[in-house]
Amino acid sequence: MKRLLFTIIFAAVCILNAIQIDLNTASLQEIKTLPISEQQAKDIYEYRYYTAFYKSIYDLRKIPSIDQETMLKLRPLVEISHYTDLDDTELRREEIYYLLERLGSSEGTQEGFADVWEDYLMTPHNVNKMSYNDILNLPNVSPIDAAAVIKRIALQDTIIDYRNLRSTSGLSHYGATNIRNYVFYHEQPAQQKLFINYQLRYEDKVFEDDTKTLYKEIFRDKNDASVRESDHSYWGYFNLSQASPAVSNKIRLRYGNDFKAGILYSNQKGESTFTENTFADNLDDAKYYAAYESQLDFLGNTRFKAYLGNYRVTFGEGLVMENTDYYSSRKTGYGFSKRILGLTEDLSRTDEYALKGAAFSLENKYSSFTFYYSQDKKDAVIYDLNGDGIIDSNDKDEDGKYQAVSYVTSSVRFDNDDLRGAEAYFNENLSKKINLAPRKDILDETIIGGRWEISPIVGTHVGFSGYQAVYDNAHFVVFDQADIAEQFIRDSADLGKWNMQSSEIQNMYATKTDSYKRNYRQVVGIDWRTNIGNTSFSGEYAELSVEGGTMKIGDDPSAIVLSSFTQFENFNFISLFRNYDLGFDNPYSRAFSEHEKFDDTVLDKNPHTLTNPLIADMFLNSAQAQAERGVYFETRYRINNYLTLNRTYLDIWERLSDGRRSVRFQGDLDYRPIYALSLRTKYKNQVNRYDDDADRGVSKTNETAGIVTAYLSNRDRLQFEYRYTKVWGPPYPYLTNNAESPYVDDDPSSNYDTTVQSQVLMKGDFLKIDFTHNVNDNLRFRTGLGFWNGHGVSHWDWEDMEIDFMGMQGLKYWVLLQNKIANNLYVSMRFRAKHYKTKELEMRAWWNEPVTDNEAYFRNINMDDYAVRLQLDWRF
Amino acid sequence: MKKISLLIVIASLIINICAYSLFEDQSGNYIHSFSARTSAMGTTGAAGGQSLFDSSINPSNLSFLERDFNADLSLNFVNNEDDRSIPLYNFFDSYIDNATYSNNSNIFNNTAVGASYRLSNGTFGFTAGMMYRPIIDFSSIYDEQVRNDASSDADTYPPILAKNAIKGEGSIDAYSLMLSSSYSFNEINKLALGLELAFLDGSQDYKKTINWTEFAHTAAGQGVLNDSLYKANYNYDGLMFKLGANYNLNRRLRLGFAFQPKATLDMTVKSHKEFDIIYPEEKLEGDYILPTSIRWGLTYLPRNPFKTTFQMDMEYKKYSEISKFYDDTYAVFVGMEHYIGRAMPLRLGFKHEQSFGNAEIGAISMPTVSAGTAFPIAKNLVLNISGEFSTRTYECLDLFHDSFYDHNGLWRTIKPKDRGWENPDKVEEQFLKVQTNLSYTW
Repeated sequence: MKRLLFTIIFAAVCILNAIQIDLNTASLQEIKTLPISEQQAKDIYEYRYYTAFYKSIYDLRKIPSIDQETMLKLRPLVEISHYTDLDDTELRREEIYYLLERLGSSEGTQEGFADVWEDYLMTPHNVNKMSYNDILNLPNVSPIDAAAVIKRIALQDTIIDYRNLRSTSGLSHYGATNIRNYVFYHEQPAQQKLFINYQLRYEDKVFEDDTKTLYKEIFRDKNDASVRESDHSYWGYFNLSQASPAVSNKIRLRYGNDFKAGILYSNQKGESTFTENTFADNLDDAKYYAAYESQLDFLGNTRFKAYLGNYRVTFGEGLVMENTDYYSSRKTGYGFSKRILGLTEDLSRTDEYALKGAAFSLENKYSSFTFYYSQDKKDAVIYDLNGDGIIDSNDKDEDGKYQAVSYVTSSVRFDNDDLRGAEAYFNENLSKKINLAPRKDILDETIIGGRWEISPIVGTHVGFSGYQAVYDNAHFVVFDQADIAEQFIRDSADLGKWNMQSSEIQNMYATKTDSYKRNYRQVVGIDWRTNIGNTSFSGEYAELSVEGGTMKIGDDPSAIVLSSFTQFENFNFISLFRNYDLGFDNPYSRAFSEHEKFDDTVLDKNPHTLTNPLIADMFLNSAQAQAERGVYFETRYRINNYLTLNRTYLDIWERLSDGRRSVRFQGDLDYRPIYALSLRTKYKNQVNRYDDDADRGVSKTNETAGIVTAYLSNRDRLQFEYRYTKVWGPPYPYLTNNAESPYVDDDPSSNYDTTVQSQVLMKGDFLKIDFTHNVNDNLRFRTGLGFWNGHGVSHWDWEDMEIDFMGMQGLKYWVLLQNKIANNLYVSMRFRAKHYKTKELEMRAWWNEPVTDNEAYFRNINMDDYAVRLQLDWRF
Repeated sequence: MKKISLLIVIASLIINICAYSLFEDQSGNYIHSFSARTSAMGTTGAAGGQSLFDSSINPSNLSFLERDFNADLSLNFVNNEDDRSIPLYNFFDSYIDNATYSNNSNIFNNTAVGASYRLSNGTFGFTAGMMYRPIIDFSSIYDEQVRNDASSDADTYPPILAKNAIKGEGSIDAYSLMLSSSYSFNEINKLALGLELAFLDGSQDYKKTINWTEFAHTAAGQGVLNDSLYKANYNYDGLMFKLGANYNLNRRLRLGFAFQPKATLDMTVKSHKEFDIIYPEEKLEGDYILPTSIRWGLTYLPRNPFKTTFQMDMEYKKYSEISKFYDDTYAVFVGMEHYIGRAMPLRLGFKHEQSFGNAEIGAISMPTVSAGTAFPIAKNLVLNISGEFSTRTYECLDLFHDSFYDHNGLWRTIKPKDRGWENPDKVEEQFLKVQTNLSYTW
């Protein structure tokens, strides 16, 4: 009887178990069979569908209509299985979401790299089959780390997991951490599926002050006392007060790891939008590519890449070729200022220096070869050769070519017809007509380039690279010293602004001179790297062919970078030497420098004196390194668990255009008494001077900052920063006149008293608070609040992923929302309000009255700037 | 010739129509939605249906309301700040355009009410709704002082010569009948079609005045200066149709489409002018056009730890139907809603709209960010709240031309003259809109 009873109970339990409903897989109909109301069944089903899969029975209590009693009633009737409907790709995306987010937020500084690294993250490569360059190209991985991994693989020692990777001799903990998310340790089944990424980015913010100054310059003669009209400036003429926002649409497709393609359409702020343009214009302005990458086993494990459309090429230290529009100071090539070497896709916002054509590369462990061909139209500053005030196709020389000054990355790329219309309108007011102006897509540029690298042992290579850019429809022309200032400066009274620094303009490369005439620019170089122990030595030497022999080294303008990187577990040290000749004018060079080309020249300091202020974009958006000679040292040292010396550097250099010498030091010490609290102090000092002590060009800058960061629970973060800056500037005569009267002997009819009286001392401080709150894993808010007092000191601030420069005095706040809506949909939205004061010296009593000196006065102006950004990312 | 004169007169009258923002002189201010939820979510709603007032965007949304009976009452407040600047010139001859000469900040409000009821047999559904809402608001207030050039260097305020003012009141209201029917193919796929028939009725009172001060009368001599007054009364009458469709593609995605054909309203204008003499009242008749608009959008319901709704719309408005000088415009709307906790929604939105612009200045962009939430007050009764912030900058001509003030004795050294488009004003506007609506469902 007992046995029978036991059997019956056992059977009943089995039956009961057998009919238990799995809440993670049951249909709505099945859930409705449970002893609950129809609404409750629907709620249970919808929770799974719209909120989350059930992890335990207690999740039912998160549903408003399910009370404790109902939950207890359901407990024996249901089961919870471990279930997900995400496929491998979606699971991977889930796993690396925070890294994708981080890549997205570094897009501003490492323009275009995010796409490359995202592909690596989504489909990691087998570390045992990766090349030295593959590993070196990963974010924050050093040459020592890359060599350590490759050396181990070369010994046929297979890396089987992350723990195993960490035990690699010579690989730092930091390096291993950075590699781990980008690699697998065994062959993954090929994901022969289509990956689609779509990104919409909308940004509406005001122009930078420097850009505004350039566009707002009124075209009129100096002695013209007639009514000044705002539409005689580019700002007024093109109505840039209501410039359209910057919008970009990007689609990337990838099939497996072999085939890739993409298209980007973007317009910068103030440019005509997609809907306003014709289809042909949109196609011209779009960037696109198709690529094939594969491992060619029949060529001895050789990696093959082929690109059609837009691509990016970077070699060595960036002296010969690194085609980006964006400048980054102190780009050592290590750590956070890394270059992705070799051939990669390009859907970045780079436009002027984009390469468009075909390229391929072959790479194995002993050698690599890259060839690229590009044919594209570039923007350039063009001379009005016939002097008729109209820069058009009539301005060609006896060879039928335009006379170009330089490449230019315009802040706003206006259509050429519109520019011509504006210039004709401005010329009505001018006795000296506009003789220089940027033109969109005016320069036919054909580039053929290549590189051959020999790598006899792991971590050591020698590479030979070069390119020739052929210009079929233009000559680059540089006038001699007597004429060039006349060409650039509108009024002869301002010729004094053509300072010694402007010799950089005189030394630009020309394809047509008194001694030769050609249609190309040619740059060749050699780069190398070798690792000795835990130090990596690298360098690059490049020459621009001017008047020297084609095959002869040392007789042309040249540039050299030598660097070393020493790595210990808690300490690294970078030393770098650079020396770029003034005549080394390679528009594709992005090597290490403190300043971009044309810094401190008339294009930078006195755009208002130019015959056309628009050409100041040659400086404002310059990406090329300035001619400098100097040494740079940088270190990071984790002294102990509490004390870390963050990026600390010393740079001593000379600007070659005028011999100005500078020293810049920055130290950053981080003290963490407990893990959750960081106390940082940063100090920066820079001195600029000439050997001649009497020269007024001396300036000193001191900046001290204290930063307190509290790391709260749930990855929340609260940060306070206070910064105090002091600048001793060179005295500026107009601003340091006699305090009582700006005129000599108080006589308003006299000239300004330009006596140098003292140096200008400026002090400023800045206080900010940043707070990051993670509502959950999907939703994050970041907010910042800042106050500053500039008094002439320019403050800067990193907000989220962009730098903001602040003027005289003000307050700003911003909010950033980062929202993972679904596994494949991400939204980031940002709003910033900035209220500040600025002071302008005005010379005006009424808008339509002639200006006299008596009406000059300082005026306080209150400014309100608002900025909105939206980014949508769909990943399938 | 007569015809051309008439057109010029009508055009000059139309240009004086204004609302909230003094820029919306042709159209008045469109009020897109009275739903605080929709407002908080960037005014998305082409594939909506979570709020009764969504049906003003797409009438087929009525079929997707969760409950059979819905009643909504809505109230909104708009704070418009208008800063006007004139061009100035700095030391290097470049002009700066942030010297504000007038600042006006005013609050306006509107109310709407609606109700709907659904009959359904499971497969077929039929919903009827009625709604009252203003669709165009003409309210505006603008004040400006004209001061002379005396004593400004001595840190004192120069005396006031005249006070200028603009005041607009009124709206075009829609009395709508909305119908929507739906067909459910199965538990998931559902198609709904909707129609709105709106009777439009409205009026606007507009007044523009220049009043000289006692100081000016004394300075210029008694009896020399005359105040200026312009008054107009507009009446509008017409019909508007809107068609919409909504389709539930699957459990996660719904697509919506709405089409509003051009609506032409009859407009009658009575105007009155006083300056040196009192002019006789003028009467005119004309058309007021609501341009064709097409809107499409989606609602996406992903799996998210905070129950989430994501919506996105696009809209095209054919302003060129009003005048060939106006640009057609596009707008993008993005919104998201998360339920933090059981009943507390967090709504966030973004909107990019363009105003129609004109031949001189082109379309004007206006980005908006928004946020909102809701509070259950009682069973079936919810209070929704939202806030929107928008900003835009544009150029325009001086509202009160300077030559009017050119009289002997008023100015020390200058002679005021009119400015044209060669030296226009810059206007910076900010809109802060707070919207509340009380929803009862049953």
